Amino acid sequence: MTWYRRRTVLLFMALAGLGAGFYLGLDPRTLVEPRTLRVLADFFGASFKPTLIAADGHSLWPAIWSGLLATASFAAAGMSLAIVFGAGLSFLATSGWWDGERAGRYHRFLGATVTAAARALIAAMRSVHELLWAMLFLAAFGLSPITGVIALAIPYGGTLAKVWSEILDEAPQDAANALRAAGGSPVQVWFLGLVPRVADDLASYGFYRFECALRSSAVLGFLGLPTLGYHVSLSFDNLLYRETWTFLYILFGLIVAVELWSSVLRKRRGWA
Amino acid sequence: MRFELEHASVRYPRILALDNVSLSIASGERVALVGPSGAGKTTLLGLLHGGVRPSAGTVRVDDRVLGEMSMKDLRATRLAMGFVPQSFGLVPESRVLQNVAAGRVGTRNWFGTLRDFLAPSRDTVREIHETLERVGISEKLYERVDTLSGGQQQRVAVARALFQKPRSLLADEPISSVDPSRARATVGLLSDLAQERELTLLVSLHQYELARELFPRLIGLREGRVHFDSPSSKVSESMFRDLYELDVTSS
Repeated sequence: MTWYRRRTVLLFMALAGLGAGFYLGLDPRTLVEPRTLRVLADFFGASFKPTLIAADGHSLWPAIWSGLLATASFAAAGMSLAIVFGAGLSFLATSGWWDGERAGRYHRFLGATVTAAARALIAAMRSVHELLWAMLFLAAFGLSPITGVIALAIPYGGTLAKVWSEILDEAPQDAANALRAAGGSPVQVWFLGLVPRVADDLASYGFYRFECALRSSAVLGFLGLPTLGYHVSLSFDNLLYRETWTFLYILFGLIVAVELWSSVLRKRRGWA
Repeated sequence: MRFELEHASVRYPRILALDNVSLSIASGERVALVGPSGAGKTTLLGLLHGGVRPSAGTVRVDDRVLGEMSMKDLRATRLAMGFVPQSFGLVPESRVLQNVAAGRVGTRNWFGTLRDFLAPSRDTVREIHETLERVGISEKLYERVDTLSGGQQQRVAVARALFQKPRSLLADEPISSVDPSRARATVGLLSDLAQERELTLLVSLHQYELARELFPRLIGLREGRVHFDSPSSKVSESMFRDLYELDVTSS
């Protein structure tokens, strides 16, 4: 039975891949067309000669620093707001925060409704990518910093809320029950009985999302916000591939630096 | 604090945990609940402290029906009962101080809760220290709970219940996880505390000697029913043994 099913699944996956290729009109020959090869050679050739001098003779350092600072600031501000959204919504979305209170039918109905509404809101926040949110707010607020911060905070807040509420649902319930038995309110039970049991997991996931936020923040530059992505797209559009590579290497360095920082933290706190 | 069960039953999806139990416990009484595992002791304690709802019948605490109270009154009533669960219900990642302070969540608003957790006032710390002194582990005030032994953790759970300033103390098998010499000290402590603070005391345990020695009244449970309920002087060792052996023969 198992071998039979496995073969069917593999066959189906292969057919799906081929079908998608035909639908999209994928043609492997595109890869080796002379024009394509020339552009590829130009672009990747430039990766060996990144430059710190802009085409107009000025130093690139001011642009690098402002791009770095903007990237980090958008990520930090967006995450700060996302943590507020995430904490509030993950409380509401944790199953049974109203439960165990010996709640009457009315309260249980209210609790279930609020939780369902919170989960729907989380799904809505998450289902739209930060780039799309950014385009939406760009239309509303223009190229204001608030555009980037809110565009990051909404999907990141939703994702934090979803994963945090799942972590909290898995947390051992004995302390929470003891606090309810001592007359604790749902908020107290959540903060004192559930969150401390999984605080390391919550923080670890939050930090991982911060790393993701840095990448997203850089990409928001493609829409015109002054992060590293802005400089990448500007130099790329002007065919200044050597400058493009400089900014890409800086972005790479930033991500690696945060990665190192997080691995030090993880080791110290014993995170997995 | 007075407790009263009237024809109370608790039905879980697959079993009838308590079957038409009626009993009343007067204020200041000290009662041991005995009976084999699965007899319904934990469920009975749960009914009395409001963690379990009866499927039928009523639970009265101080002559008021638990199921008819508003959320606020229910919380106030639960605050007046110190409950020591079998698993202790502590937060192992927090300090002893914070765990004991949690006993008073029912009296604290948001700000007070936050303050107790992060930077408790000097008075609160002194009171917690005194409570820990009474249970014999005052030197552990600032230790993380997960560095303590099982017996010490149990004392933290007792201290948390005491810190509630309760009018009753309910303990679910408090000595199932400690060695026999500690067992006597733990139950003795609960009994002493109940007498010196005039608390109604309900403890579930398995030890005939201890139960008879420290509790004036024994309630024997078996398969969700009250098998006997009498002054401990009238409970013979054979009655006690029957309670456990009947369970074997019937299964």
